[in-house]
Amino acid sequence: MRTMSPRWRKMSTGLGAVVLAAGAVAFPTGQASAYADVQVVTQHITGSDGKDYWVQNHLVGADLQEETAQGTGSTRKEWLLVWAGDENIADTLVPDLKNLPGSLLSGGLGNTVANALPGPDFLAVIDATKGSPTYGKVVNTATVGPLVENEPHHMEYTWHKGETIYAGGLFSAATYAFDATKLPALQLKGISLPTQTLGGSVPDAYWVLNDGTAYATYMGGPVAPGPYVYSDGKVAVGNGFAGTPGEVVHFDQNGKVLSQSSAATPQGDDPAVCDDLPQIGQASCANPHGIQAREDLHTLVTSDYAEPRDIILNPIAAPSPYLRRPTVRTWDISDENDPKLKAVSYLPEGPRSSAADPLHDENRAAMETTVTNLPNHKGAFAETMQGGAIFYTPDITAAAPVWREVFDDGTALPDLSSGNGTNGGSSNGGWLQTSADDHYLYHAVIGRTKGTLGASDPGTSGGIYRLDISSLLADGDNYTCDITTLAQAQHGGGGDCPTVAGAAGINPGQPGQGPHWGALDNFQLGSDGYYHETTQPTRLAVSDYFVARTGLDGDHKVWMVNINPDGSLSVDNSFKDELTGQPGVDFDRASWPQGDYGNAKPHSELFVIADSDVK
Amino acid sequence: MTGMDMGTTGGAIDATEVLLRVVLLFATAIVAGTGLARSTVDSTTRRTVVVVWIAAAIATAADVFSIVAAGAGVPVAVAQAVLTLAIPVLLNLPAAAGIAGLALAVLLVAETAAGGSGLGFLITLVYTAAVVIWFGVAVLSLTTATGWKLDRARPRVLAGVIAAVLVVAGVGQVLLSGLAFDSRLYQTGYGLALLAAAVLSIGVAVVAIRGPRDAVTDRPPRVYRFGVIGVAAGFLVWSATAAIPAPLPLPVAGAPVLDQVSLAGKQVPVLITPQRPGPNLVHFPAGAGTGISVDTGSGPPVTAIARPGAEGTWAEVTLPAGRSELVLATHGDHASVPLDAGTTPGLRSAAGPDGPECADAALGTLVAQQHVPLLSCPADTLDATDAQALRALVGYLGSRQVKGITIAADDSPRSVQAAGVVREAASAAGLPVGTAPAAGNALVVVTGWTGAANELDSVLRLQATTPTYGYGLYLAPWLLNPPIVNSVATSSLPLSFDPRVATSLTYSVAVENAFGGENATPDGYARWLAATGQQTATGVQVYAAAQVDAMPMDDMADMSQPYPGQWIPNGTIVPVTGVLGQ
Repeated sequence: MRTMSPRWRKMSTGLGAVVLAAGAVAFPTGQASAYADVQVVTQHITGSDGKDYWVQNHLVGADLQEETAQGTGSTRKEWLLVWAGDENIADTLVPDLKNLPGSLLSGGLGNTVANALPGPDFLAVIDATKGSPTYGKVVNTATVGPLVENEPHHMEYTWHKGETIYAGGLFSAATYAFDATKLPALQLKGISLPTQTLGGSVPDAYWVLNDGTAYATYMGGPVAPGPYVYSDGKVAVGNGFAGTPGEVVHFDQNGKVLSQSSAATPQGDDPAVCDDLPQIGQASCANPHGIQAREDLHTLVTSDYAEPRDIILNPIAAPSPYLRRPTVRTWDISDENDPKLKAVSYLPEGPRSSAADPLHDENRAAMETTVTNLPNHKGAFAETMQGGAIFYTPDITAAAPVWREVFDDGTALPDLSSGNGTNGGSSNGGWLQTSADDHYLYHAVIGRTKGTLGASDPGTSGGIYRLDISSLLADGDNYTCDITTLAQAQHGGGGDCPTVAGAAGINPGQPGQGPHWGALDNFQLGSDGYYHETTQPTRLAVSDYFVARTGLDGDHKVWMVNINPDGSLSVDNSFKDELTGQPGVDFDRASWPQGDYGNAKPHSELFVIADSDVK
Repeated sequence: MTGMDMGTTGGAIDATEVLLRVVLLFATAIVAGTGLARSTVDSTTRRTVVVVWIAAAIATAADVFSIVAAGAGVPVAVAQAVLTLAIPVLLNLPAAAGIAGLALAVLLVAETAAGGSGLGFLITLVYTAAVVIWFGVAVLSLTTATGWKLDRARPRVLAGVIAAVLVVAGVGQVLLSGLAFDSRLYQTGYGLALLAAAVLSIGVAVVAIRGPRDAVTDRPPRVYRFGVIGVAAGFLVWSATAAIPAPLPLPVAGAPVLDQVSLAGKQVPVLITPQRPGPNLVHFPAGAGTGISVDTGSGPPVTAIARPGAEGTWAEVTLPAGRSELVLATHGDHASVPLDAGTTPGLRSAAGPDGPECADAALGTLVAQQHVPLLSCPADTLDATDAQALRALVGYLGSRQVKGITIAADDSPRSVQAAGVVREAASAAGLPVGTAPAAGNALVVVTGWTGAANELDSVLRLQATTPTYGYGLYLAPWLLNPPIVNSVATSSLPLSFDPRVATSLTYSVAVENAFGGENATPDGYARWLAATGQQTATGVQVYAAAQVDAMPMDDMADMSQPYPGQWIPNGTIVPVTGVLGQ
């Protein structure tokens, strides 16, 4: 009897190894993921429709245990929460498989990699503790269900200890209320469904009051066309879901609706600058987006952005420029459950305005507003996305606040990238936030995409800039700043006008790839080992995503930006993506702790700390 | 591919990519096999080294070129190039050459079988492994005179085993394809390729069994040299099959057909309903483009055109009884679709104004892989679920205190019955009903797709100048179709299912995958549910639909991003009432 020779054994072994290795490729074990040791914790609640809604935490055990293993577990954690939406898996799976040399997946086998169901949207919990070995790592993704394609949008502007996190879905018309006290895990306290906010649709932003309740802007109109009776008894006629007029909703800490108040005025708004589709009896610009309040002044400010739906009436022409709003509304919130609309202010046109191109008038698309904070200040700012300008009023308590343009994005654009011109038109500004000490004003701009203003327009790149507003505020009602000339728009207005006090380009040289949103880090680690709120932030976070359907998709990165002692801003290169090693956490990745769902779209962020770690 | 194409799956193939793939896999198999088999001989000759270097150079060139021409991943391509070039360098180190050959073989298997799964992958795996070993021994046999280290009997046994594996894989692939017992095996390129691979494998087996027996024991057996011709030819064909679209199932007589053809460089899905003698609709998704002509062989060709309220393009043709062939042509290219219309005439409503809706209903059954005759069209009658939805809708409008209801209806049996239901319910609710526009009315549309598209088009123009239907536009459930709901700023529908949950989204994705570019419709969804044995009764809720996009940027007026899994592309739909009538 012959025995197998050593070489035959080798060949047999080799062949077996080939079979086994290839078999591992052929028969993957389901949820293969770059994340191992993921602990899944699910919490369910029942919605007002009787259905089951949930948040599912995917806690990355390895990352959470790493610090302990390295003996640095005593440092309390600061977290960056990012509200992000899923992109379809086919967006990333097909390119990955196409990467094999010799594969024909771009063609003949393309159909074998089919589109898959949309994945869940989620709150990403990222370690934002400077110096931590897991700095920049995603340690938990809290997915929500069963609703998919919520289009995660905004949360509140700043989080304070113990607050509910309110997070809205632009497309699902839902508001989620999260409990963050046990971070990095999150719990769902409640969900508001469209049937609970019939007076408005398309939730946008949230402002949390001192009692923990929150106001929200619902940019779109009542869900059904026709008259709607609000909780304050007011009747407004709307043109339907995602139309006009929007409303302000007051939520309790669990996301339960306390009141709904229409943003419409009884007499309507100026029909010359306010279009509605379809027309309603009285023209209205009431599509509130940005929202901030001064409880000490019993005043709420909302800024109107646009009628948030689109119908292509003419496939060649762009939608009416007058669907983008030039208005800011002030409300009396003496009775929290009965906000009373006090005034509708029209932002002025500026030196770049042209009757031939009203879409890029400085006052178009008043996306954001921010209030001053100190007791001796009563002013507020507003910015325009298409207009590319910043406006100011010194007194939001006035019966009819008057706003002036005080800064044009064009002045700051060269500070974001040397290749930028000084035309601030359509610079796609977003996040606007005063510092707690009222010294500075922070503003994120996406930048203008190439060709926006004509075939030869190279566009502009974006980033984050900071303005010194101390002189402007110091002059009170007697401020003189008023941008009325192109030179002032391009180089600043002088006098008490705001001046650039730091800027950081994000993706400089790449038009339209800057951040839409941001958040200041309002915490610092005290000598007692606990976090405390600060009015002197040393960093902020920004995110590069707006709404994919608009064409402003961004590169889906979240950046940390240092506010340096010398006043300059700079990207924190130590806040790196755990997979690529490059600065900025990239939400375009194949795998997440919840599975291989591919790219995600990070819209907004907050610095948050577990209840036991903050005082 | 034209003429003999009987309908296939898959996308258009780039000839360069195909050539690149075949060259890469073939040359890589030679190199990997030689590395693996290196231990079977004492030493190699200069000829061996030259042959392996030539194969390695060709493989590496194809590998590098695939980065540029086919977008291959750089890390994998570099790893492959390193392994490929390492083997000729390591030929004097048998163990090292064997390890490198093994690693390269793993990559080769992954590339040969990329995209496959399950049994198909397993077959490709063993086939490729067998080819690699045969190649390796053959190269050494052809280039090495002496020093064969295996004993006399083993090589022939090994040849027999490899040949058996090739036969099993080749025949297995034919059986697995489902083409073994019908004409597509010899009438389609894909079938012929599979057949050729199987026949060549059998030829190799004959050589292995009946081939020359060697008298010299230390010389590699000649059977490998003779057999390598068949192995190489078979592997070339096998590698190329990935580039040949697989044929779709043969048509079931008298049942709607969902097929796919290669036309002008595109893989074009085509839907034929009802596939009965007489008038039929031939439907293409919007992505197929315009100007496709459809020829039945009798009468002039018909060009597919858009129809109001429906997606894609449509051609109405008359089919003869029994077997026939549909010839599709565009941009100088043509392809054929085999048909078998049977003998029973089809439903009249399957090809009239309500034909597209009927076709999309049939698509639901086809997506569920059921090929059954179309026995009814949605517009033939008002079903109980939709009637209940309309009653609930009128009740809801009554609660909203609308001034009145304006009905838009047509003369289809379903629309007539639906209008009756609405009038009856409105009468019970004390709501006036009319047919003229009014500012204080709600419009309720119960027409078919064509009528709805025309009605909403006129309403849209009216609303642009005059406040009209201030209480909104309400559509019957069957009108949840993107060209209809997206034609107005917003509309509302009473639905008995939730288009946002996993089951309905699964159908939406399935339709997108099966008939690229088409969106789900309620009738298709209902038939898909029935065909797959599922139920989703939720009670009637009113849903609002709109294209929520926060306004596209001014330079990007048309930023369509139809993420699969949406019932309304670029839109959203949410419930605005609880379950009605409870």
